[in-house]
Amino acid sequence: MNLRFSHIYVEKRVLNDSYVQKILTKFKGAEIIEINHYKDRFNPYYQSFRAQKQAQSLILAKKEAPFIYGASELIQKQDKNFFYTTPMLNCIYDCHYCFLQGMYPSSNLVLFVNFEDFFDEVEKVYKNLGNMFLSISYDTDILAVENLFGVAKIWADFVKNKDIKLELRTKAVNVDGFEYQKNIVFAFSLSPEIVIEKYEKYTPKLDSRIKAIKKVINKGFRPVIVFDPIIKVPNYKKVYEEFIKKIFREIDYKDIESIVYGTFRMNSTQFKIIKKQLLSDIYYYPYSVKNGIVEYKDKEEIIKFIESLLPNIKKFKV
Amino acid sequence: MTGIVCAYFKEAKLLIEYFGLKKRNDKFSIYENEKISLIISNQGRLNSAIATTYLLSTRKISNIINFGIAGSSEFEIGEIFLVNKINNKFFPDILISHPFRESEIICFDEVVESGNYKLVDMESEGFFKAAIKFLKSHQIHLIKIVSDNLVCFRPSDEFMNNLITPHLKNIENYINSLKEPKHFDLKVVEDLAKKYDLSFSQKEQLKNRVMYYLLNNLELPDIDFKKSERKNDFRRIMNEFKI
Repeated sequence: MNLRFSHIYVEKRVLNDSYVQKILTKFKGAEIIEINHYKDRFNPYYQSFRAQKQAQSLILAKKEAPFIYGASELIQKQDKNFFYTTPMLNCIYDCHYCFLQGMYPSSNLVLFVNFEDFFDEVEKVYKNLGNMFLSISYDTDILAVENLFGVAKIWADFVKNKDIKLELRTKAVNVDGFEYQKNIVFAFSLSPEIVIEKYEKYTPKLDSRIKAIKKVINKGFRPVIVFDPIIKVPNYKKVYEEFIKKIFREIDYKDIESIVYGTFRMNSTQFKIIKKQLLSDIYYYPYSVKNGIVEYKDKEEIIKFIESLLPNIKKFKV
Repeated sequence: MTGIVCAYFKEAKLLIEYFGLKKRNDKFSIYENEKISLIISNQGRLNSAIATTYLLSTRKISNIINFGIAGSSEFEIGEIFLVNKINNKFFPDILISHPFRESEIICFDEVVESGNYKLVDMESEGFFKAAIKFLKSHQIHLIKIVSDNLVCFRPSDEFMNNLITPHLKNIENYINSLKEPKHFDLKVVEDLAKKYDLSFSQKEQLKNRVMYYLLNNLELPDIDFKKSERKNDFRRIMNEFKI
């Protein structure tokens, strides 16, 4: 029995919000529990991120400032004026390599419902800079729950006719509700089927993701393809060679805006936290630790190999 | 093992009989079998916290339940509830399906005889605050049966019998559905560490390697060479685990 969202915690201050009421009607059998502040429910140390993944609760809350964040140098290379925002915390997918497991005390999904406050802040920064690249799926996969909450569509409508590129990084396939809009960037994370099966629990299969990519291309979008993280599974060269060949057999690389790729890496503190909770072989591989980052000892060799398989289009190594 | 904390013997008596628990000679009144350990705490949040701490400090308990009666101005006498919020600030995580209704509870230091409350008791907060020092919130459970509509009274054995007996089967099913943590058998690491006199750090590295093998369903290498120098032996062992 799937118990996801069998419990919905709602901040008292947003209980009468029309968007909240609309969401609640979708979960008729759920226990609705009033809370004072989402942090009372989300922050306590005595929760198990791992156990909660078996039956995630939903927390509906109001976010307080800051509403947008500047991104690191590493990401800024992709686009100027890169910012990210967090309309949601956590994700319904359960990827073994995900840093969120080491970042948050809870895996419950927090959805911030005060869209206007986010928009006001973005508007201010945008007016000042003239253009923006804004990711709204940095701490979540927003498209994974689009059918339930419609958050990406709300943001897509907000950026219409503005010089704001809106990045939707995703493993999901819920793209039907989007008509062509030149400033929406779909960035599809793809992995070999063996990696999806073993490490990307609850995510759509590779073929479904390829189908979604074809759909958005047919609508006129130029999606980004993301091969990150590359996982060194047994026989990884054979696995990734077949995988990347399959991708570009099915998708014409000329229809792709760019490729983002990188090997598995993680902040060593987060790595240790996750290792204590999650039984996954990813956390038992003999990595090297440099400057507080856990990564493959032969990272350069893996990257070189992957690069040899990629078509000649715009690429970003992360 | 599942722990149960009851404030009064009257609340515990039917559980003790139902589960066939035997009294232990201990500092507290404790009744046990191989799966359940029940402690009587006496009234109030402090007593509940002390008893909970004692039980969790002296037994290997993976789930703990505070079972007892509660007052309510809203619910009917005899209704049973699983608690999902205590005093507006503590949240037991309910991650499994169950046959009970759910409710919040307010924990007071005095008997409550007026007001509008879904559930009130005198132990829940103390129990929960003690339990979170040992367990995660999905391993902490509170099951309460409404005994009165905010009226102070002394329940008879017959009253308690009528109140609790109809729910015993559901309580048993609930306890049976609680998960025990999964453990991997790492005896092979212990055996190799002992045989080749491995250091703590070497043992940890070996443990990682063995876990990688177990989680990939790979067959563990059969290692049985003659012991020589620790460093060389360790290198030889690790070479057997190819990644």
